[in-house]
Amino acid sequence: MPQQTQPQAPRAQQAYPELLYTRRTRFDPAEDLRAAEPLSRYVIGPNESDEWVWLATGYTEVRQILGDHTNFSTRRRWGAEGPDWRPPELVGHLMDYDPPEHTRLRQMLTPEFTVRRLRRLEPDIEAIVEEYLDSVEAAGPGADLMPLFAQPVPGEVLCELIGVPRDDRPEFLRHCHRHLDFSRSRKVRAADGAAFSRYLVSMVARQRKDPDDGFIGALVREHGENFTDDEMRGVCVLLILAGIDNIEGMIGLGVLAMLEHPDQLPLLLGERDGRGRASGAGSGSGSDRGPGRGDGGRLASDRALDELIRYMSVANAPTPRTAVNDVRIGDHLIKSGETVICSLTMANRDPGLTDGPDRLDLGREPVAHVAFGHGVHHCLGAALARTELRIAYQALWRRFPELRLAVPAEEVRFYNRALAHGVHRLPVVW
Amino acid sequence: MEIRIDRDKCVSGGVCAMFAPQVFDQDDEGMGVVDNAAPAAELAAAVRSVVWRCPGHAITVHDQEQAGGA
Repeated sequence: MPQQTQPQAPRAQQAYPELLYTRRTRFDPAEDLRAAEPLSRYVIGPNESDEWVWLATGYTEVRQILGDHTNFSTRRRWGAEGPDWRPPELVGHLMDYDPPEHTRLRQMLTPEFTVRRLRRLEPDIEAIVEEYLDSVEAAGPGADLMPLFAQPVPGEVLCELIGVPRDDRPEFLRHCHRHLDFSRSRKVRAADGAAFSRYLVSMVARQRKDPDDGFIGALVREHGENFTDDEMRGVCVLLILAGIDNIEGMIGLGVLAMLEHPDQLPLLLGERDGRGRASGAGSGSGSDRGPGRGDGGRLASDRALDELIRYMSVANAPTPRTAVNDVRIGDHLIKSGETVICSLTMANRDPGLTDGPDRLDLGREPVAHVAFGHGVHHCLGAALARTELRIAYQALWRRFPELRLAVPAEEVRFYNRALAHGVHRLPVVW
Repeated sequence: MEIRIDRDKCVSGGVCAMFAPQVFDQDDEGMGVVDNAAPAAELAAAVRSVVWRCPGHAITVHDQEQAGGA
């Protein structure tokens, strides 16, 4: 039987083949992805003789591989250039480093991404979210939430975090979005990548001279001698690459899912906990200690949000791993030099992880999902993502309590980008 | 129940502080810290869940006296 596939947006050029591990049917992994063994060989291309990689889809396998940085490297191999060489655009790109180098870079960044540190950013995130809700409201019923809300908010938040001045943001973000648009030619994308990279280089240089209290300024003050300018630029590029598409996808998919499961919305908004109790301020005992524990409502909504993040798993797969030793995983021997792709989508729908994994259940006890990865490369921005999503969903329903789709649900088209899953358009009325 | 965090393994993912805030916190570096060295028995399940979930496999629980329990 032919697989049902989502209609695709017209593309100027199919710059990326639709890889098996990116295929979905609405929120779910596509049937042919589900059919894959927990660990199997996946041929990339139409011919049996084409290049192949390992594809891990089982929860146990994915966790074992991602959790084992000793045997599985994320670093790209450049053979002839020697083991220590990497191209300039990957300098500072954390996913291209293995411990101990990775540890050195990451440990300088983690203080900026704690829940407590991010609390300082919350008023700015709130203001950005409200500003874009104003534009949704101004557009009137029928407004498309994707271009008016889900797409611009993550980029603005990142600009706020890394300290791109307001006047520079439109142009800077235009380059970022064009760089991430895989429907454009490689050449156009590279030119946009170079433009925002140049901008970041000059920003790092300015901060070196006169550090402010933003993210780059803090890095300069705390670790200025341990970081090269290129590394700082690379870190910022990575934050942007990792922090735009995923959040955009998650906002769109999350809103759609909540419109389809309105009974679960109070859990996401922190109005009720998983046991059906009202969870307003003060209901969490001793709740004002620990990060992000201002009230019971926030705790309840963090847990509900965690399930939404598991269910959607917007990031299809993290950076491929290369085995640096022969490793036995289950019944298979992965040989040194072979590549493994880990499907986070499939791992998070493994019945071994939780009961009824294909059911969205925001009242579920949090499970050890791998939507943010696992191991030393676990998403650095996980707390930022959670903060941003919580604020975005809550502000959206605060503004439009009667929010609903303006089109039949079956008309919402999904995209299967290489980096993240999402929807093209989301017209709403209220 | 004695809970330890191996700082060499901690990846500052914040999972412990988020899902068992009665027991764990994050320090200024982002490292997980044990905030409540003697958690009540009813928190044992939450602690075990965080031990399993920790992306750096940095948390261990040691039963001090009798066997059994966590």
